[in-house]
Amino acid sequence: MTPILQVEKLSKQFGGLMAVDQATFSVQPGEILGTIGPNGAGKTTLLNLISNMYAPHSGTVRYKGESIVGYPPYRIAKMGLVRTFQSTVSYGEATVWENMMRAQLGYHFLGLWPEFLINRAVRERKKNQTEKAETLLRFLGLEKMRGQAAKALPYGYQKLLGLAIALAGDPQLLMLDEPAAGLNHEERVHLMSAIQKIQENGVTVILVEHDMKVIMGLCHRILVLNYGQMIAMGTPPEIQRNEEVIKAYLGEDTEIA
Amino acid sequence: MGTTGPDPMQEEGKVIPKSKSYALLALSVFLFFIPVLWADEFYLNVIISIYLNIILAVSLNMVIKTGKLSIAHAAFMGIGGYTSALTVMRLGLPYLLALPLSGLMGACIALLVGRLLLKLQGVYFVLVTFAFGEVVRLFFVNLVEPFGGPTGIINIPPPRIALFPGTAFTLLSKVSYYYLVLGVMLMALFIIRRIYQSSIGKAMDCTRETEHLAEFTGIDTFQHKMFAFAGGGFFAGLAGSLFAHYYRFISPESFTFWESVNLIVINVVGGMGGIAGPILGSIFLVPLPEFLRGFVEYQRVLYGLILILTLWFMPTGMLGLLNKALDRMKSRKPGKEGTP
Amino acid sequence: MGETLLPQVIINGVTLGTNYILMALGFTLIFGVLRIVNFAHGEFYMLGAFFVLTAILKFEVNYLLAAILAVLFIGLLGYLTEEVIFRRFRDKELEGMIIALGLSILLQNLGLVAWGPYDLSIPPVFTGVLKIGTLFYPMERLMVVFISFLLMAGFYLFLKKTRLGLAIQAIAQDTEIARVQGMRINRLYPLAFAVGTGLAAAAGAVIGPLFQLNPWMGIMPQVKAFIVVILGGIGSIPGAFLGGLILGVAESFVSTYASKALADLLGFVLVIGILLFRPSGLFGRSQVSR
Repeated sequence: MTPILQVEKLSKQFGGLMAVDQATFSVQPGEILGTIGPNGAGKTTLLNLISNMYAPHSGTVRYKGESIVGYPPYRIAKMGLVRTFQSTVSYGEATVWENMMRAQLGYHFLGLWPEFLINRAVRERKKNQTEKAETLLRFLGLEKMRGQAAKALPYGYQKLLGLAIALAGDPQLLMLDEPAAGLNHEERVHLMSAIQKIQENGVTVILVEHDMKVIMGLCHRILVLNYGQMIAMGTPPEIQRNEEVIKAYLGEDTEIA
Repeated sequence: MGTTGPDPMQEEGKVIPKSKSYALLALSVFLFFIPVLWADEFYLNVIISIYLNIILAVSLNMVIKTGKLSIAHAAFMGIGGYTSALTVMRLGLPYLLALPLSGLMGACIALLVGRLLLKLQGVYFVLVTFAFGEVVRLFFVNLVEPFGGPTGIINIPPPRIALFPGTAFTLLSKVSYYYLVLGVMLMALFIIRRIYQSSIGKAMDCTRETEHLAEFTGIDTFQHKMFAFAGGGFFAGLAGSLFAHYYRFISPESFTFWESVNLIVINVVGGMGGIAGPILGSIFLVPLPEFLRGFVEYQRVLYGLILILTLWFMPTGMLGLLNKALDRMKSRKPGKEGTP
Repeated sequence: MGETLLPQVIINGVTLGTNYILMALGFTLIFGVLRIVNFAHGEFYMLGAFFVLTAILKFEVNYLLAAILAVLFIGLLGYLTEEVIFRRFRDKELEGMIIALGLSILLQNLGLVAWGPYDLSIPPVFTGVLKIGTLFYPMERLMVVFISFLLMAGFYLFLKKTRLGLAIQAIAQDTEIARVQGMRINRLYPLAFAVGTGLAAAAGAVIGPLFQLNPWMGIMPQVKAFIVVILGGIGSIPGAFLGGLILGVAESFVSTYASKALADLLGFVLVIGILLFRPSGLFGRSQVSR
């Protein structure tokens, strides 16, 4: 099966530091790939490189066979590769509902002239977008909060909103940046079940996380980074036994079992 | 604009709900009759001045809507003004061509320059537009040929409109000029209102509020910023042409940094949400100097004070105040829900 | 003709440069530490000059005392300004900038009300001309450069040797860390602003006598300060020194060998170039707000 994502020798340097060093791996369609590593290992940088928040110094990224290095982020998102952010997750001042409508805006944008002139297509589209927003809010359990300002939501729900926004474009490959950070036990369970269902719907997921329960519980394979380099790649049991990985985490509070 | 507190640009007008375009149409028709009701030259002059400022302030609002605060708006007005004066006087272009050409010139330069400038964020963008505005002004001041240098261009002819071959009339009277400016203003408002109501306007809001979220959910933020900047340049150019042929004289002094600041003040004081804000701001601030004729020095003191006090006490501007008043009125009527 | 001209051009350039540096120091301090684009900086310069004028003409205070008082008084004014007006907008760069614009308009026109639109002048303090070979150097200007150097040295020592100076540097580096270390931001911000405006006032008091005074005299120095700060790097003191010198000398050259108009243009073109291609300037921190 052709991998949905192929990363080859991807590298990025900040100052004198190799933030990501020759990362090479593939992601199979439909799998959940976890990315772990101690703080500063380069996990978020890797996501940033793939989604082209900034350009790599060397290496290639192929999404569905097409090289996407240098593509503007909005184009990559429209191709079906969507990522979330650790911090700002939503349009804080707008309501939850408004956020869901805005989240779909980019994908269905017809272009400057058509949007300015045409009215009919807009109405059709509005109906579809309303349905989708409704579906997504229900899926993540946010439908009761639709009228609240996004920034007023409890933290856990804000992160779920971030996930809903990411799903608004029907992504095929979803990259989540520490979605479980700051969640309590109940919220974490909710999140995990949501990600599970997303994968069951055919979406491939790359999950950057610190929370081992989430990683071990969800991922088919795990990629481990340390100081920007890949030190291991394998199934959860393999990673848990891997000596390099254990060494890397020595001194960190996180336990990998 | 700020990271905390209510976003002044979210504050949209509630006086005339979006759906009631008919109310706006009625208002526009009413405006056509103003010269009939008030033929007084002095008042017409003030109103024309207000209309010109509305075109400028609303088009600046569009640029600000994408999160870019530009202090170069007056420079684009200048570009339009000089283009119009020169093409009419040197090339003999009919005014009906010179006018749109002025707008296009503003838009083209905005596109050229925006490509580079719009990459800058926040305060740095403001500073670079300041520098750009000064560069443009220095061009006008120092190139005596063709811009006339510090004295500018005088004896700019009034517009000669030839709609059909053989019929040509010159807009000599204030009343006729009133209709010209009214027409351009209504067109500008109509276009910008339409943009704001469409997905383009929404995308602009997204770009302003949380740019990276917009970008990573498929919105081409750079395109929207360019569009707004070019649109701003276009309407500023139009206003410049109208300005030049009305006052029959332009100089670099008409298009300085302070003129740009004035437009920002109009936006801040009037409120920046929607187009109602800058309209309110123009109506309130433009006539002020006229009616405070006797106290010239105190005028500008008041001006500075108004700016500071507005940011201090009513960051959402006059529009915000008006909306609050309307909300309070609505909540007094039992059973009536406000429009979302 | 080229022989005697070149050294004169350089000297003029250095003189000009020191004027610019004085303004730039205060401006970069305020921008670097408080992240406020102080559009009213030129007005504090103007107030410094007018304070000296009023003190000398109305109260018959001698020049030196008047200058010192000007710095103290305007510094206090700056302290109050930050406390009262800018404090609210500490995290909001754009609003802070617009408020500074409003303040600028307000102060210019209060100055207009107070002193009228006509040029006034401070009686010259130093007279005579220094003549070295074929070079002419008015004593006044020489003294201004000399005093400026004293001020700059004093400021430098202040930053490096005093507790307040070090504290201000710390905040400029990293506000969070400074806060964690217990530095009282609420005291330090207004103090830093006071130092900045004090410097502007000093510039006004020192340079003022060279030129005519009017309520708008602060506009050009402000613009130059802004150019120098961008050139040298925002928040960088060495940058302000070097940037000021470079701008002064460059303008002097262009002005003499090309035209004054081009010299004016030079500054702005440099600003645009720097902001686009090397936003941190010559020495600034490479953090540019993204």
